[in-house]
Amino acid sequence: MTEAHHRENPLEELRFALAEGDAEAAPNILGPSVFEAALAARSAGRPVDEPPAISPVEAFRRAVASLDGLLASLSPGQWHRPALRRLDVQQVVGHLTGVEYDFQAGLRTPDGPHGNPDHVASTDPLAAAQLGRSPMLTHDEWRVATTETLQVLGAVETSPARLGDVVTLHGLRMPLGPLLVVRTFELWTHEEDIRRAISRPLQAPDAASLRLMTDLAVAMLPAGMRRAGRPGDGRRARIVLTGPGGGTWQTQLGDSPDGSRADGPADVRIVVDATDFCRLVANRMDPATIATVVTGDDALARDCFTGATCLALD
Amino acid sequence: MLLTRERAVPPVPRSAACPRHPDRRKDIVRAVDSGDAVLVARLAAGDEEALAEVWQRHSALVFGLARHLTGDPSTAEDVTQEVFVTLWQQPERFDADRGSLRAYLGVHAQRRAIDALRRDGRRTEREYRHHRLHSDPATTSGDPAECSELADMVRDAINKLPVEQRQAVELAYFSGLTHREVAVALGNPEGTAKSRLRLAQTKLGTWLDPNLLELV
Repeated sequence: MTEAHHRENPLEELRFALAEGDAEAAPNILGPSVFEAALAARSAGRPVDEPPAISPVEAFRRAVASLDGLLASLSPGQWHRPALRRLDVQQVVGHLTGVEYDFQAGLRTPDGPHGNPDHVASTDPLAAAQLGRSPMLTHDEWRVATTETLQVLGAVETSPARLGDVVTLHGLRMPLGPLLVVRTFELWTHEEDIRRAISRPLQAPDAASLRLMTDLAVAMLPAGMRRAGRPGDGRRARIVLTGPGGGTWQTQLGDSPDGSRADGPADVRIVVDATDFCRLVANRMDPATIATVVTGDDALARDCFTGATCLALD
Repeated sequence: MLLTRERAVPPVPRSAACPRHPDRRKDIVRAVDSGDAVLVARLAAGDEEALAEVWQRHSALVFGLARHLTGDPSTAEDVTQEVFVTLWQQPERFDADRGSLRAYLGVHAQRRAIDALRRDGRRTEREYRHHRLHSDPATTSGDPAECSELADMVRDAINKLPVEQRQAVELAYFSGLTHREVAVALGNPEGTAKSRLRLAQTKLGTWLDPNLLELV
């Protein structure tokens, strides 16, 4: 609270500051009654303006459409801007076309050979092949590839049980539903790579897609922490993701050494913007630059951020 | 950006670096801003612990206001419940750029209390006065020059208070502390802090516009 907060109505602020002199403890029974009524109106964990649920196929479709729109707006010169590692914008799109082919192979033969588990190495030839090509051809090739993927996924939408089919992509073996959310992460992340390259404003996914992404990211956090060599040992975190696509999760971070499940208050509470959290999980944001509020176990919070970054869902 | 950073915690040791990016630094910046904007963003995200924090901080003020305005503890309970449930349902209606959460809740408590009186058919002079105050453009115009002038007037008036009252008012007004926090900060019993705020209220009401400071 600073005087700046009183700019709009200083007398009203003063009125209620002085009203502290007339404050009177509410009856003890009132608190539980208020909580019961509040949580009946909106249950704990649910954000206000919760977006309508969409399928992972729809989230992927929206990510494709968004990137397609951006690519269609690029000037010829913008295709050659450096975008990611040693790749320019055109090569990033070539990389994404390669991912699309690998994904289609995984959809066709879930138990078949799955190519190079390193997604960069797997798509390097196609990225390199863009050198000297017309950007329009690069865009067209990616558009055709994503259209084919979406045609296959159209059949999945009519039988949602197939979202549980296990598919392998670049060494990642998981049910198709979450894998499509990973792919949504990937397309959005590379769209933002391109936006950075051409100095366009970054753009968060729509709230419904973002909600799928935040759900998945929180669910995968323990895996990221294990990958980072910082297992949570069954401790508990309250993750509060603010803004569109956000929500509140109380999650156990891995298994406790004795296999028990912890109850009670969280060991750490982390409050962070939902989109920033997704950028962190996509390995596009350094924890040092993310604005957050941490309460509780500082070291566990650091482990959570390290684990989130190591998910690298790009 | 909604949240702000205030201090950095020590970097994670290099041995803990991400295996996919071993050369990447893992500094974590921790913010300790737990102000109104963050609290309400947490409410919007469905964090019921934030509701508990708001209740802890402001329920006594809201209930006290409602009790004074309605004169009836049972009605005051209803008003208090309505104010907090509405905050949980529609936290986005609070705008931290316009004022404090305390004032926001206070205004809503006043309105709900007046509504309750109206429902009970107990229209009183108090109600008419409330409507007069809150429909007066001079108090809500939001004109920056006028607000700045008012802020100067308030600051000057507070500076004229006896030192013990001034300290209590400064903590409550400038620092946004509750009566309990004022008591702790000054090392006084709660009753003493409240009494100093009430005495200050009387004086400030004399020096400033008494209507604007009048709660009941």
